[in-house]
Parts: sequence; structure tokens; C-alpha cells
Amino acid sequence: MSAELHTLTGAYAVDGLAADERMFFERHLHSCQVCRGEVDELQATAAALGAAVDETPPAPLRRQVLSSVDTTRQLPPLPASDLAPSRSRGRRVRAVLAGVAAVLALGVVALAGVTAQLNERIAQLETAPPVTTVDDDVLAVLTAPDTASIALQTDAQTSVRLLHSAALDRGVVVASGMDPLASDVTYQLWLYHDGEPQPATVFAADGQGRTVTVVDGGVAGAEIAAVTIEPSGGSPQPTGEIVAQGPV
Amino acid sequence: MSTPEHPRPLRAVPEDAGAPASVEGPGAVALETLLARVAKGDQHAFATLYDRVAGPVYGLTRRLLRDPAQSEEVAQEVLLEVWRNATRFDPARGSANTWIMTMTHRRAVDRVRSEQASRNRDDRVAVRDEERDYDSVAEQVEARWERQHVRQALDDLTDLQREAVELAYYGGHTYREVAELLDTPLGTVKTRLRDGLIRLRDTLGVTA
Repeated sequence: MSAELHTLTGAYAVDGLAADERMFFERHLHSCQVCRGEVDELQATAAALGAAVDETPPAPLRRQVLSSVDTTRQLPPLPASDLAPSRSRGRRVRAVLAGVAAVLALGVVALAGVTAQLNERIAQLETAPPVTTVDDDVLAVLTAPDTASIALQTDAQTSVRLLHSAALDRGVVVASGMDPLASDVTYQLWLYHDGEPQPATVFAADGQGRTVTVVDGGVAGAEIAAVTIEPSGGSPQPTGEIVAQGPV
Repeated sequence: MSTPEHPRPLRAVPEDAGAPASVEGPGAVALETLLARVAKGDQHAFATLYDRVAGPVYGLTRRLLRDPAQSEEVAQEVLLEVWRNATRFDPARGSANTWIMTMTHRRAVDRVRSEQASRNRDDRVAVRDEERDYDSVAEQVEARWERQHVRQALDDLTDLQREAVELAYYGGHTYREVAELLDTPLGTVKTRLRDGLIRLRDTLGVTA
């Protein structure tokens, strides 16, 4: 499977994949360093092709863009990764000082954290379109004769249902009241077979906390469904907080 | 003395040059630096960035969309996205130029495809053919060198590789559409796109 997907790096780099193939390939990229590296290089190559058709835009565009920027919010920076451990002498002293500084800064950091979260939420609400259209895959599951619907156990404000058809071996996750997530994490659905969780799909909640996401394959015979929060792109095994689960 | 009839000579081409995104004088601030400032909300830095990349952004959308009004719309969307998402640029993954041009191409292609039903799409390749109005001779010469460089690199491909790359990149076609247009198996098109881009990468000396 991987070897076959590898042949798509060129097509992907020139946006030569249609929407569904593109999504599938991007999911592959999250777990394939080789493809990711090649795609990065080929996109850089494609960018050079783009430069060859450089054309001065009409003057009004500059005015429009610069004035729009004035009223356009930026996404806040991603949370900083853990600091690398100190290697030099005086490490202990530095650690103590850092500890003291951390306590003093706690008040400021907490406030900044809340502000950052609010900004992130606002940005998501602004950029994420609401789920409004029903595509063919979803329709197929909705209208299959053997489709069943189960509700996963979750918290009071959230509703997560899995509609599934064994005949189509396909399902749809329909959720509402999902918290929007920071951009470095994602929701991931797992379907358990023989007691083992298999990754089913990653998905995001839209600006209104809703999702309608197709699950292709792995549905027939699934015993349990669960949703966890994983690093962006998903994980091969569940590692994060469980936000919903239930028997299928 | 430089006049329209006697343009100044091209400066020496560095051995390892990929095509530069836009006109940069010596000592110009790196695009990555500008973008980092933009990420902190620096509107002045964004204006400078605009002046550097608006040409490539607009030019590429124009090439894909043809219609000037739509091209302006998409170019504006892209430039605002650069502003909005500046904090998401990861320098470890590639250059600011690549980030911006990749975003441009993606948005323009998505617009092309959503307009596909109502348009009669013309698949002429225009890299060699088009004339441009330029504000200055220097810009004209610079851009001509970029085109020359890329044109030569494209000429280095096999005809079949070049066709596939041009139809996909400049024509906005999916590889499946390219396969239909060229009456070629899917696997062959995938291979040509990949091999063609790898060869271009090497000829242009591109590193991510």
C-alpha cells in the first residue's frame, strides 16, 4: 500500500489529486517521512514553476489587501514545545531559578493562556465553515438497508453517534457539542476488532462543534467505537484522552 | 546606461540558483524574516512582503484562472491567508516562497475545479507564449531570466514528462484528467509527474 502511494508524490505536489484522493494521501503523509520529505522537495520545485509566470497585479489589489489586513485576525502562535534540557554546569542553580521564576510568572502565564485559548477559539469560529452539505458517501450510509445508529458515551454537552452499515463496511460519525481543538491535535475515531483498537479516521469539529465524517472500512464487525484526542494527523495507537466510547 | 532598447546585461547566474520568487536587490531582507515579523502582526513587514510576492501569486492565479477578476479574488484570498496563518509557517519544512506558492497553487486549482462545470477550459501551455507589461526594464530582465531558467529546465524533460507536468501544474488538471487528455495509463502519468518533477528539482537545484 505504501509503495503504491509513494508514486503519488509528484501528482500531489502539483495539486494533481482530486479532493478524496488528496485527503487520503495527506493522511498517509502524516505517517510516512519518506513521502513527506519528497513532497516537500517537489513542492519547492513546483514553486519555481510558479515563479515563471510572475505578473504584476493591478494597483487596486495592493490597497484592498493592505486595508483588509487591518481588520483580519491572525491565528495565534502554536504552544511552545518543551524546553530542551540544560547541559552545562550550574544546571541545578538554573533549575531552581527557573522554578522560582515559573511560580512568579504563573499568574501572568495563566492569564496569557486563557487569552490565547479565546483567540484560538475566535480564529476557529471565523475560519471553520459550518457542516451543511451531505455528500454521496454519507448519503450511501444513511440510505443503506442495514444501517444502525449507536450513541457513544460522552459528556453532557456532547453528542457522538456512529451510523454504520456492515454491508457497505462504511460508517459516519455525527457529532455535536465537540470542543474545538488547538491546531496541533485532532480527534481520532477508533474501531475495536478482537479487542484491538484500529485507527478509523481523524476528524475535526467545525466552528459550531459539529462533525459529519465518513468512516471508510473497518466498520463491519467492530465491537467498540472510541474517540480520543491525538496529535495532529492521528496516531497508530490511542494515546490521548478518551472523549467518547461505546459498544457498536 | 539602460534603456528599453538596450537592457542591462543579465547578472551572472549563481550555480545553485533555484528560480527566485521575485525581484530581490542585494541585501534584501529574507522572505522568512519578513514572514516572522508578519507573524507578530507587523503590517509594515506585510506590505514589504506583498511587494515581493504579489507578482508571483497573482501571475500564477492568472495563469490557472485566466479571468482577471477571479484571479484578483483568489490572489487576495491567498495574501490574506498568508497574513492570517503567518504563525503556522514552519521554516523546517521549506522556504517562505514555497509555502506561499504552494498555498497559491492549491487555492487557484480548487477554484478552477469548482468552476469547471461552467467553463470551457483551454489547455494551451503559456509558459513560452505570453507577453507581459512591466513597470521597469530591470524587472523585465529579471523575470525573463526566471522564465528562461525554468523554460530551459522544462526543455530538459522528455516531451511526455513536460506535457504531464504542464497540464497538471499550469493547467490545474488532476492526474486522472491528464491521463485522459494524453490517452495514457494512470500509472504512467503518475510516474511522469514524479520523474519530471524530480528532474526539474535537480536541474533547477532546488532544495526544500
